[in-house]
Amino acid sequence: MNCSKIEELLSPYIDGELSRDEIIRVERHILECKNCEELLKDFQLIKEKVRGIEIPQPSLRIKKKIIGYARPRNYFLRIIFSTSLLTGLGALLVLTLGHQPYIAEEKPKEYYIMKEERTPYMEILYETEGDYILTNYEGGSL
Amino acid sequence: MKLEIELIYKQYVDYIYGFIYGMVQNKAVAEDLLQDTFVKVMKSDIDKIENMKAWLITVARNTVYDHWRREKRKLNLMPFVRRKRRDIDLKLDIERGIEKLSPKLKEVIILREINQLNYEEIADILDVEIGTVKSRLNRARKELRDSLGG
Repeated sequence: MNCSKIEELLSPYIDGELSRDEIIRVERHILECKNCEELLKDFQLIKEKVRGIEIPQPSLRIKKKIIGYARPRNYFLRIIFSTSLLTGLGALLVLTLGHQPYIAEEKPKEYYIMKEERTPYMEILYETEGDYILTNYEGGSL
Repeated sequence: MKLEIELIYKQYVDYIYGFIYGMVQNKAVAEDLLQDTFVKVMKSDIDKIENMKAWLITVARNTVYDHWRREKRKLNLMPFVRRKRRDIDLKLDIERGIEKLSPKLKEVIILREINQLNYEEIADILDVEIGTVKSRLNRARKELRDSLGG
């Protein structure tokens, strides 16, 4: 069998599309013909390379778009969904604006001072029987 | 009907997208054509389809050819459109080789290697004889071999 006839069978050979008789014919020829053997090797290499091409995944955006077209549009559910979404957002807004930040009230410092140093301007907290009284007066000029 | 489309998408998206991407070799274009393909699918009476796989590829194939026709018209109006350098550089030699193939040889190699269809299925989709599939595949592989410098 001549080379051109065998060449026609090389693609179906590597694709597993030949009959048993044809496979035998190709294999016999290849044992004797370097050119056809080379061509067969190249075809096999090309097959591997094409199969090795990385096909990217379609993006999520396009998937959503297509599925979105296909999904039934339930307007009743949409209204419920958008109403509850708006209510939720409104509640969140009210909570955020209405919230007063907690500021810890500073407890006035307390001091003990000598009883005889007491003046009418001093805020007396607790008068003791001893020489000292408990006051908020920090001192300084009054 | 609508839910069926969603099921078809889940089941066949890789198969259809693989074919479209193989044909146009550009992600953005392939995604647009995938969308166009599904719009056509949605408008069709899918209950009457016997061989879904073959029919989907036929729809995708028509969409790709429509796109090429539109592009050709555009290119006739704008003859100096240049491709982005980055798009060209990122491609493998084999992808560049496929790009150079004529549409008839390109589709046969994509259907065989990317979609992994047998000769009979390819012949059905392309509406040609099995002998034509064999000879086109041989020619495609020889041209690829030449473009790879083999």
